[in-house]
Amino acid sequence: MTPFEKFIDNLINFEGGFDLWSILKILALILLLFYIVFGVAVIRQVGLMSKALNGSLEFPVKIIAWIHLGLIVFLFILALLAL
Amino acid sequence: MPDIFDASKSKEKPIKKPAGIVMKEAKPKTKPEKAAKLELKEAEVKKKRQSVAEVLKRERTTGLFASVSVRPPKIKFDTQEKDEEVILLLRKHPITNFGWIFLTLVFAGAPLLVFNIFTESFIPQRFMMVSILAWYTVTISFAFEKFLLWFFTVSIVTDERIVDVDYPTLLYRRISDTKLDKIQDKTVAMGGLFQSIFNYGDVIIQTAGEQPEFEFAKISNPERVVKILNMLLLEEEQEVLEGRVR
Repeated sequence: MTPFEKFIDNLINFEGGFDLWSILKILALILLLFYIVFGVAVIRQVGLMSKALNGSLEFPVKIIAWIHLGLIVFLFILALLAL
Repeated sequence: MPDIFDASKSKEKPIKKPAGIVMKEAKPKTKPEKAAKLELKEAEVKKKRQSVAEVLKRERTTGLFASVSVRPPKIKFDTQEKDEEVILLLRKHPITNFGWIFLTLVFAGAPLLVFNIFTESFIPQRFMMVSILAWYTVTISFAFEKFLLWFFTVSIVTDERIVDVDYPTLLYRRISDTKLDKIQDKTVAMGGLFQSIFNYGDVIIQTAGEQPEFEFAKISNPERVVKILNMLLLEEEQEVLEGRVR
């Protein structure tokens, strides 16, 4: 059983044992989902900021914003698989 | 009656030009001398009456993270008009970032400290690993957000108006502007140890526009900014007097 299947199984099968760590995992994943939304918002905001004031540092800032989102997505996947 | 000299009837031989010398005939003047002199004078007056933008071009001070950039090259903003020139780009003094940079360093060091104190933990290893990674990602987010807010919260002074780009939070933006001729009053406010040491402070501008007050908060060298603003206001008044208002 893959970790994702295990996770789904845990979600469906309440008697299968909703221990403290499973609840924490679900909470962490929900939080990380919100975090991903935040990461996307940052990218959007950086775009708007660069449009409002351009001519300096837009490119590096955009790159950092994308790396930031990448990190969050990586963290979500890691939490999904490892927890 | 006295004889009238008639050149056509004159028997005198015309003076012959020496063979080796080519005499240039004076070109007929296209413009009268007076007009040419006037033009010269006008050019001189123009030279003397250079716009503030031109004068400040020679005093250009820029820097990627500078608090006050005079005539920054390549800087454009969203609502900029075609002929509008950016005179000043103002943002908070870099030293104002000290707080969040210090906090970021504390956040970065916190897990090491925690693990040194609590060597044994009941938390499973996988949870520990994800928590540490999450902690550092949140720290990066925090630092990045603070940097973005500092870097993009700017005030722009052009040769026509003042534009204030404000980001109270990352997801909220407010841009307001006022014409230079609506400026009524300017106040420089400086105080405190840090502001005295690093020479930064606030410039508060009262206007007759819809937004009664503009604030250039915590900018470095506020007196110089007020001086440049005064120069721009004088220029604006001159333009009004000469009917050159855009």
